[in-house]
Amino acid sequence: MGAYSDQAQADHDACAALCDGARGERGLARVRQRLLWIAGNLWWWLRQVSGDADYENYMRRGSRDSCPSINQNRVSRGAISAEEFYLENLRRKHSRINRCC
Amino acid sequence: MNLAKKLLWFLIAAVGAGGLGFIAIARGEPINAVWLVAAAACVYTIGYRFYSRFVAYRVLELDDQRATPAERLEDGRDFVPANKWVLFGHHFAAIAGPGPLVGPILAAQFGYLPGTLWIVLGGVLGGGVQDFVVLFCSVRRDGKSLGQMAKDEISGVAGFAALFAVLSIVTIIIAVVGLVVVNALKSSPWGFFTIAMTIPIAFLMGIYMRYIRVGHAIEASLLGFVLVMASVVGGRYISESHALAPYFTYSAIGLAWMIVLYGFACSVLPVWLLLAPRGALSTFVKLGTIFLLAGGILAARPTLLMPPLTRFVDGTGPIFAGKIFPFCFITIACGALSGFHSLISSGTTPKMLSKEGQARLVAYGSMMMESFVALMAMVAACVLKPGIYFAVNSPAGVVGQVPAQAVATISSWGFPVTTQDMSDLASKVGEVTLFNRTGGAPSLAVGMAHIFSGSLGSSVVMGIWYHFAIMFEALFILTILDAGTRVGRFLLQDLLGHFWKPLGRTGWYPGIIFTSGIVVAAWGYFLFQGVMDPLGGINSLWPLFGISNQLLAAVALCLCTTVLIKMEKSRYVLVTLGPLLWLVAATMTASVQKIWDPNPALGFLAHARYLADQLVAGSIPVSKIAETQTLIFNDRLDAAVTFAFASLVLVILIESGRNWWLYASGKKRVGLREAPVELSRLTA
Repeated sequence: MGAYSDQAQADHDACAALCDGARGERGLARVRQRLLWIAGNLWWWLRQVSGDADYENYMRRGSRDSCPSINQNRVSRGAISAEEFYLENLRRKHSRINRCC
Repeated sequence: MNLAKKLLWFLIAAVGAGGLGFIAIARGEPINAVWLVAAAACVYTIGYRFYSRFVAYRVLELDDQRATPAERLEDGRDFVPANKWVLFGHHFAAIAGPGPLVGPILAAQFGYLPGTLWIVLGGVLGGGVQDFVVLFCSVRRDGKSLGQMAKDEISGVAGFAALFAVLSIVTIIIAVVGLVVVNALKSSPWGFFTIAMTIPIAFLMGIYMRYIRVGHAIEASLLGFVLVMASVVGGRYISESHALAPYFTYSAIGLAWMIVLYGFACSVLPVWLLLAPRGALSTFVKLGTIFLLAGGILAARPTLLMPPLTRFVDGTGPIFAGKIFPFCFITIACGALSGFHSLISSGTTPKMLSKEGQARLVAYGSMMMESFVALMAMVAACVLKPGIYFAVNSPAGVVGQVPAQAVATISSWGFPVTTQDMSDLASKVGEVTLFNRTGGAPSLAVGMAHIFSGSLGSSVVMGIWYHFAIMFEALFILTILDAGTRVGRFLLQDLLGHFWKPLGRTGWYPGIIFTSGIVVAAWGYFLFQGVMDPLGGINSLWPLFGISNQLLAAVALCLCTTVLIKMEKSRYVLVTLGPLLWLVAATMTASVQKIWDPNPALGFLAHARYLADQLVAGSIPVSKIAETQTLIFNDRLDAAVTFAFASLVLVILIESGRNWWLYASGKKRVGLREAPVELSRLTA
């Protein structure tokens, strides 16, 4: 009985250690995933605010607008190149007040 | 709201009230800056959670089911629905200029208490509300500008006042920020080298974003940041080199000419070459440094050495003359309540708002952040020994030309400082002298360097931190200068195009050069006026800026009040009428005092009379007669400009008041000019 219970206890301890390890790994993986998610969102936000993603957004909107089932009111426009878009964007942005004192 | 949430809000309220109470009753012994930061953070949190919610849902009745202009008029260019956090970033980056840093530094001459209370309460009850309600008005009117809305909802006079205020505010703000840069860089080879290097760095970034990696602002900004940091570090070697230092050492007049030429070049050069890359770099450095400063204050937990109230509450301040009321409220605008913000709230932001409810986060939330930045600037000024603060900021015309004379004057005010203190500090930060650097930037830089070196390094690197702070301030001051000159040029071209069509064409080079020249000459005149002023220039220019800024705020708040009355929300009219009345009281009192006060240190006309009497008495040396005559003319010009601003405030107020009375008495039909209602199809 004693040997059995010792063995059972040892098995239980080993199993608990394994489970703890697995739980710990799962916890770490979750933390890692969470951090990656936060970093990804921050990077996305930074690209949007800095204007890096402006041309991608413009192209994405262009393809959506040309789909009549999504947007029936808009006329599809011919896409302009990244360089033309960049210069046009700057011209519009800097021809009105866009900075405060 | 469940019990746990109630307890949490109760705790925040208790910490805020405790912090404010401690600040208010602490007398005679220095307090830790963390008290200020904690109290302010709690007030902002409560203001955002409760007051802005009240304004949003009780007063304005924001409706997320109603399509915004970004959705209805979406064109992929101007009208684009944006994520609320992205728009928050855009809006905050647009409203956060040098104003919330410089204003609190100057107002610290009254002590830390008046400025801090105005920043916190003004932000929560005034600035946040103004920005929020103007954004709401613009969203309900297809993203119209402040001037258009004032014309439609109040009258043509109000629309004209808005246009006049915009042109004058652009002129005066450029002159005043130019003066801040001049005073920070004069006789400073290290500072000048660092700032001068930002121009070729911007060219490089511009070429990178135009030809190598089109539109990749993050990469270009990182490249620019590394190069700018290299020039901050390299500047030390320039300043220590006997051979090179003279090439980078300039007087105030020389620097003023360079700034004028720079402004002109920015207005006529292609925008991708200089303006856009500088703007991108400045935004990155600005946001990064603001977070760094917040972290530095929390890590260093510095003690405020400035008393809560100084003797200068009586109006005899050396940096600018005038009592707490009205001058504290004119000096600190952008951190508490700034009319300029209404141009941003009725500019790009309303065209990108996806849902009406998001206006609360974007406008009110950004203003809370801006107010917090102003509070950090106040902390940075007040951690300095008061004697040092006054030695750095007081003009030579007030404290004396010679260091010994200056420290004797300042010490006699009860703020002990020695020439040894000042020369030790100057050598620590790598400058020859820090005396008479009126304008706020150098004392903010010393304060920031003190905080950074206390938390992120030793005093050995204080010089690097000081010049990093100068670079940070000058970078986005010059961004205002170049962007402002260009916008001023567009406004002028728009106006002159009515008289002669070619002048209105933005691609016609003779027209560009002519109108750029006029705009630069206008602000350049005021810049030189400030540089030549024996009282430091800030004494006359900053109040002018404050008054013109609050003229714009008066237009904005009159519009907000009119719209509330038209919406049949008269019972909530104090939400905007309260800040308006306070603002008008402060602006009108300041205007009257600046024009007619008999004290020559305060009143423009009294100062002109004082100089004229000296001329008549023959006490001015022959070599100074022409300069004195110019000073007399400048005083009279400033008085006339102030009079024009004050008159416009009165005209707008009377015009609005007349309309309110007619609406209330039923003698005029209420016509709300909102865009038609359309149901939103966007998901939040």
